[in-house]
Amino acid sequence: MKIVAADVIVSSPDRNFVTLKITTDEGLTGLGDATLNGRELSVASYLRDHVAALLIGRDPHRIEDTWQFLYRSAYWRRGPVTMAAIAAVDVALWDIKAKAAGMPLYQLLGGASRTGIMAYGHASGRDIPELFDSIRRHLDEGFRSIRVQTSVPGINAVYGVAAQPSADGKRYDYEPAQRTPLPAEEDWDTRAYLRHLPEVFEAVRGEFGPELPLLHDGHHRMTPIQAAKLGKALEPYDLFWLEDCTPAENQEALRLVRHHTTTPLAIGEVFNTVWDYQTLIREQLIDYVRSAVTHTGGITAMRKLLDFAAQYQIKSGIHGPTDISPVGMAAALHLDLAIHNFGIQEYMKHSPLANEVFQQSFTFTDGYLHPGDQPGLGVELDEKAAARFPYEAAYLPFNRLKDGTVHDW
Amino acid sequence: MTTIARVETFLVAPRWLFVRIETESGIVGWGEASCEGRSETVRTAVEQLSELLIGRDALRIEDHWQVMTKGSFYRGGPILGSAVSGLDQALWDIAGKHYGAPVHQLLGGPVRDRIRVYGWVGGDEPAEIRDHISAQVEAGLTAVKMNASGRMGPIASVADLDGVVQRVAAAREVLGADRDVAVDFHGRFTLANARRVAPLLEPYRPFFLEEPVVPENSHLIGEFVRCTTTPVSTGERLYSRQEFLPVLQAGIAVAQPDLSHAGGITEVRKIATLAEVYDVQLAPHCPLGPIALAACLQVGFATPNYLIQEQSIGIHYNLGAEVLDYCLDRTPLTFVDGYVSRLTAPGLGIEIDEHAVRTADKRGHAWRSPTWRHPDGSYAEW
Repeated sequence: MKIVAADVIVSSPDRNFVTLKITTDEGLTGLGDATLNGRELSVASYLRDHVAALLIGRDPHRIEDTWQFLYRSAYWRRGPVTMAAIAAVDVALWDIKAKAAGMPLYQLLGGASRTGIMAYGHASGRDIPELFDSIRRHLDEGFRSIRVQTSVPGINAVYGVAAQPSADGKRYDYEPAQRTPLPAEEDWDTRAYLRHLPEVFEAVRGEFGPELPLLHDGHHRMTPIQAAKLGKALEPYDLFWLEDCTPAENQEALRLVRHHTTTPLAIGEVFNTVWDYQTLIREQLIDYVRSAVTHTGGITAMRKLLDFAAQYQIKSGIHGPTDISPVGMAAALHLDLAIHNFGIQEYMKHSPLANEVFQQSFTFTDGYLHPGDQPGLGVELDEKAAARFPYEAAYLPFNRLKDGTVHDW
Repeated sequence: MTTIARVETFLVAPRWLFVRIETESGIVGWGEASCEGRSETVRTAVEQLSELLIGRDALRIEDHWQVMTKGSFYRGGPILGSAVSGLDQALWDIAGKHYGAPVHQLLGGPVRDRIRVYGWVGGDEPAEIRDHISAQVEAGLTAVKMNASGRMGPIASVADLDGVVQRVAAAREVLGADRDVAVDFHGRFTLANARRVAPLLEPYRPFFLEEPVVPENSHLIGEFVRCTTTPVSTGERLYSRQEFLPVLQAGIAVAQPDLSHAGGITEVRKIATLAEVYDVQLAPHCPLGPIALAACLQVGFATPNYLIQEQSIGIHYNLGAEVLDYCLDRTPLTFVDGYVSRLTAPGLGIEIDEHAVRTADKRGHAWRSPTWRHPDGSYAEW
């Protein structure tokens, strides 16, 4: 079998997605997700200008060799643009291999280790009553684990909080990438946040009881000692995890946080390789690996990363909001089902338009996801539908403090 | 008056990407965002980042750096790092021209009058070492760098190891005791190979041993540092302060950030400050074009812990154009006795031949790094 075409499809059904479609001389096709929120065109260029021509004529079955070739031959390695492009190729080749075998992809990864994949949803509210409504709505939809994000008094716009429930009541979740020509500017005050958040979790635990797994995302905004303080303050509310409490680039920061709190820690959605986790995993400074299959070099690299983590009792918590396309999401689900050290899967529903462009076989039942049993990933791209939604510039926001200083968003 | 009006990019031979920023008052700043072999994608990234700059004040360089680097959440890596680098250099060029001062004056003023430079010898498959070095010495250089080897197996043969030693010995013989030879392992060695060969090279006292492990294995470089008395260097594939911190802690002697990959003048200046705390000297990576070289030198004239500057005039990659082909005046980048004198013109201190750049961009380039394989068909590091 030989690769005869590698096409990059940039489409925007409600939000931008970059999809790689690899076609073989035997007519099999495979899909890979290369979506990098706000930098979609850079990854599309990487694939079109630097990768596509290299794939023609290659044997699609040689996945590991192709991965090594793309990773090493670039010389300038790592980083989100490069690793998203490699991920797209890797996942598309796994899709082809599984289709050729006539099996769902998870069967090639060792088969199912569980019957379903526990997912967590994103609840948010501008105040406590709105937050409670959002949590109840997620519970009604079947979620059995909930991420809790709220507004903070004195701050105008906070990451993770839906600005308002949509008028038709269909969507109540949070899409941070906004279709604006420039990134939106938000504001931030860490002290106000630290004062407010423990009260929120006290209220949520009081209302929803001790059993419901609760998660929270600090989005890289705290200093180490601030994060330590928050972790300690949240201990009575038994969080499933506190995510991205400090800027991920500084792995040593987690040592200090770890010394002070037993709140489980998760980090990694901005990481792109196993090497970014060296200190964190070796010193057991985290409990969950938060990388995206789409941003970490695909299934091949992600499985190696999670195997490394498994030696230290560290589990998976794969990144999965809507900035991962249904193709990337399917790749995550097959991996989730197969690996032993699965922890939890982030899950944010795609819009009806996105679901029209990407036909998917996965199911979500009683809080558990399953990738389905179609051969391959179980996702097909309707290229005609995709062509109806051309790329529209959209960017994640950034933060400034009250005095105008740029802060981590 | 320093409001940014437009940003343009130019893909020029042999393998470079230039960035041009123009303000509404007509000040033009040049930067270099070359990412060798991936410049087309960097060009796209520069175009996206430009949206953040148009209509803004060019002089708020640090704030632009923060927004460009942190503003889209997903950060780092060679593509975004190179894009930010090219734009950052161009903003410093504008700032210097606006204030009528060379950039190193804005960074605190000169700490030296000239900077020592080194040149490449031998190419990727080192041979004819003696002839190449003699030519560089004749041209006045007092330091050279060569690749230690070509393709290298994970546990190399004795013949391969002896080949490395013989080439370095030949270099030392030609150079004598007053000149220096640096040896670039180029990520081609496993840690095991690097540890085997380092003690064998000690009698020839190399200037430094470069990139003894691939950059993602920075957690292993400390083990290499501890097994040799030769100074160890790395850094061309580290793209931020955060990535430099572990190798500084591990005991490298020379840091080699690339001004066109590691966030430009703004970030490399901070890497230099961090390196100073660890008694580490800067020798920025620069097998690139004239703008990147000028940006390196501007940092060098203002940075106390600066060892030497790499430059690529005559390097084997430069096919189709040479470093000085895009300069209106070649004088500022001329070397005397192996040194380049302080650049005194405003901004980056060189004058770019815009016509030559625009003409070259029409031809463009598609430079790619080579792909090597081991005898068994598996992938080999280049």
